[in-house]
Amino acid sequence: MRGLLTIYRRELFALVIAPWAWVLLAVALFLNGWLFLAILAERGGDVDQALQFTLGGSLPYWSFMAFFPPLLTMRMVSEEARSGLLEFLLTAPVSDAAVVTGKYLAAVTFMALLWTAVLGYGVILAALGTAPDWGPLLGGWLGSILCSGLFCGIGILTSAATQTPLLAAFLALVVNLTWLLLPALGSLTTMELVGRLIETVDVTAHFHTSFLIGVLDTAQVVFFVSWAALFVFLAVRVVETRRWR
Amino acid sequence: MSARGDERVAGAPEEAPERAPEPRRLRGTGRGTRAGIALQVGLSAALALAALAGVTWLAGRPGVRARVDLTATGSNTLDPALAEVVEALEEPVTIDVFFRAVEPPYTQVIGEVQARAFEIALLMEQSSFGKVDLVRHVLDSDRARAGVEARLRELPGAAPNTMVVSTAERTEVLHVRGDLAEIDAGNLDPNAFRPPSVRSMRAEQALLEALLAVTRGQRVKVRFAFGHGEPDLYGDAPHEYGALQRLLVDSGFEPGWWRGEEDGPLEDDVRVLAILGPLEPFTEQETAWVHEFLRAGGRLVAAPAAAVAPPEDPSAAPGTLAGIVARYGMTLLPGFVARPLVGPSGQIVFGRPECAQLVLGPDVMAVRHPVTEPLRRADRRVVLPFARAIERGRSPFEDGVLLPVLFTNDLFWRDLPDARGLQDWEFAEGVEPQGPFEVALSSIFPPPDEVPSARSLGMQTRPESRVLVVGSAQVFDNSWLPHDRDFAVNAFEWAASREFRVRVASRAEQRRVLPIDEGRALFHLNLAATWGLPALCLAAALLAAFLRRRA
Repeated sequence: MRGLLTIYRRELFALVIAPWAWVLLAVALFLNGWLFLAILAERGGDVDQALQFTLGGSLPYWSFMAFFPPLLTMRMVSEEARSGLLEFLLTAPVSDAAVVTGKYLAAVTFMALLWTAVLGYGVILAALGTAPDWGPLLGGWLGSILCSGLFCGIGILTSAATQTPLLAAFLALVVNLTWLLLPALGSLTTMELVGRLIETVDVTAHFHTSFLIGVLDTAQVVFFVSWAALFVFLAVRVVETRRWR
Repeated sequence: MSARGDERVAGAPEEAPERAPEPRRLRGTGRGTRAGIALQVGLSAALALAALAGVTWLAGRPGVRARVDLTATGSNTLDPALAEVVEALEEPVTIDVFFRAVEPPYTQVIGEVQARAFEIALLMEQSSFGKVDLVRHVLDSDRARAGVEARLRELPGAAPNTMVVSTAERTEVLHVRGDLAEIDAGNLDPNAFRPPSVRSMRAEQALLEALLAVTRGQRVKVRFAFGHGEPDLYGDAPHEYGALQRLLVDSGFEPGWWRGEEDGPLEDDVRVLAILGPLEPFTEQETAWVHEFLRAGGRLVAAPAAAVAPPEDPSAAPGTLAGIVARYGMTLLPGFVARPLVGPSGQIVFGRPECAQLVLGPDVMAVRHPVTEPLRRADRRVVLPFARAIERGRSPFEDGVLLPVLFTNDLFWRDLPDARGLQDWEFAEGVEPQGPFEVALSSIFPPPDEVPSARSLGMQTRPESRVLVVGSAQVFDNSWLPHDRDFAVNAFEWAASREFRVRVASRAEQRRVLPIDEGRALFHLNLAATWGLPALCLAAALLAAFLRRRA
C-alpha cells in the first residue's frame, strides 16, 4: 500500500501534538490507576488478580473499550471529509487503502500507549519487590491491543461513513455496546442457532478464555485481527464510494 | 468558370476547418450508477464476511490452532495424565455443569471451587478438539428452568452443585464438596471463628477418574446369586434391587442373574459375584462353584439378610452366607449392631427398632480404603439398617489381608435376640457385647488357582481375589440406596478393581501479594500509577499545546 507509512506517521504525529488526546489519555490512566489500586486493596494485595481485573476482567475495562476508541477515531475521516481535506488526500499519490489503514494504525498505536502504561504497573510492582506473573500480564497487554484494534476498526468505519465526527462517535459507540451486550441479548432468545452464532462472535468470551487467563491462543488472535481487518476493508470501500457522491 | 475538385465559387465562404473530436463522455452519477456501486460494495462486504468466517473457522481447527500457557505455574495447562486421557478419547463426552451459589458462610469457598473446576473443564474442552462438550446450565433462570430440569432428570444422580461427566451409555456425577474439593468447614463459633476454606482441590483428579469411568470400553460382568430367597434384581419394591441394577448399568457394569445349579459354574468373564440377602443356603455344588470362582481371581460382594440369623458354627453350615465368608477369615456374629438414640430433650433412648439404624460418619470409616476414602473426603454418611457385626479372623491365605471398611465406636452394642428370637433393643450390660464392631470388612488374597484370561486385569496388574462383606443387605435395596448410593457404587467398583491408580500431581499455588498493610508500598504505587502517569500525560498535553501555539 503506497503511502501507508507516510499517512501513519502523519496521523500519529497529529495525535501526539493534539492536547485533547493527551488529556483523554490522562483521564483514562487516572481512572485505570484508581481502579487498579482499589482492586489491589480489596483483594488483599494480590497483584496478579488486580492486574487481571485491570486488563479485561472488569466492567470498567469493557466500558472503556466501548467509549475510548470512538472518541479517538471519530475525527479521522469524517472531519477531513467535512473540511474538504479528504478530497486532497484522495487525489494525492496514495491509495485509499493506505489512507484508511494509516489512520487506523495510528489510532491503535495510541491505544497501545494506554495499555503499555498498565505494563508499567507491573514494572512498578517489581520495583516494590512483588513482581507479577509476567506471562499473563503480557498476554493481557497483547489482547488489549488486539481488542482495541477491533473497536478502532469499528470507529474508522463509522468515521468513514459519516461527515460528522459526533455522529461517527455515536454510531461507533452504539455498535460497540451492542456487540458487547450480545450475550445478554442472546439469553432472551430460545433459538439455538442464534445462541451459537452469538457465542461465535462474543468478544468478551474470546478474550476471557485466552488473554485474560494468560493463554496465547492463535485462534483468538486470528479472531480479533480478522474482524479488525474486515472493518478496515469496509471503511476503505466506503471511502472509495465518496468519489461517486 | 467552374470546375469540380478545385471549384471556388466566388463569394462562397471558405471551407470550415476539421472539427475537433468529441470529448470522451464521463460516466454518469445517476441512480443506476449509484445502485451499481452500492451493489458492488455490498457484494465485497459479503465476500469479506465470508472470508472472515472461513479464516476464523480454519484458525480453530486442530493442527492449525496453537495454545501457549503464559502463566508461571502452568495453571492453564492440563495435568499430563489428564491431557493424555483427553487426547485419547474415542467417543464424545459431555460435561454438564449444574453450579449455583450457596448460602453463607460457604458462599466464597464453594464459589472458588466451582470457578476452578469450571476452568479445568473448559481447558479439557479446549484441548479436546470437539471430543469434550462443556455445557453450563443456569439453574436460577426462569427461562431456562424447563431445559435444566429435563437435563437433570436425564442424568442419573445429577443435582444442583454437581458436575456430570457422561457418554451415551455411562454417567459419573461429581459433587462440589468431596469430589471436586475437600472443604474444611471451619469453626463458626463466634469466640473461635475460623472461616470455611478449601483443604485441597482435586477437580483434575476427579475429572480424570470420571473420564476413565465413562469411557471404559468393556463393561464388567456382575452376577447376582438368585434362587435362594434373594430379592429381585430388577424389582422396584422397597426391598428389591432394581435401583442398584440401574445404578450399576450407568456405572459401566453388566449385571445379571446367576441361578446356581440352573446356570452352572460362573463364566470366566464374570468378575464379580454378589450374594445379597439370601434366605436359604446354597447347595453343595453351588457352594463349591462359589469357592472355585473366588480361588480363580473372582470377587465377591456379600451381605446377609436381616431375617437369617448367622449359625453359631459357620463351618457346620458351609452353604450359608456365613459359612461361605467364614472361609475367608470373616465371621458373621449373631444379633444386630445397635446404638442408643438421643431423644428430643437430649436424653438417651433405648428400646426402639430405630436403634438398629446405624448412621456411620467419616470418623468410623477406614481412612485409606478405596470404598470409604471418597466418602470421608465428602463428609458423607452411610446408613446401615439391621447390620450384623463381622468378626475379623485371619486370612487363610498366605499374603492375604483383611481390611476394615466400616466400624462403630464403643457406644454401640450387639443386641442379641431373646429366647423367643425377638430383639428388645435394650442394652443388657454384661450380657450383650459392647462395641467397637466392624460392620463391613474386606479381604484380599492372591488367587491360589489360575486366573482365566477373561477375568484377568492384564499383565501389569497383580492377580487378586477380593471379598467384601457388608453387615446389611438393605444398604443395597431400593429404599436405602438413595442414602447409600456412593457406598454401593464404591463397593462394586472396588470389588471389580476399578479404583484408579492414575494420579494427578497437585499444583503449587502461587500468590504474589504486595504487603499493603505494612510499609509504604501502596503509597508509592498510588503515587506512580494513579497520579504519576496521568501527570506525565497532562505535561505532554501542555507541551503539545505550547508547540502548536509556537507553530
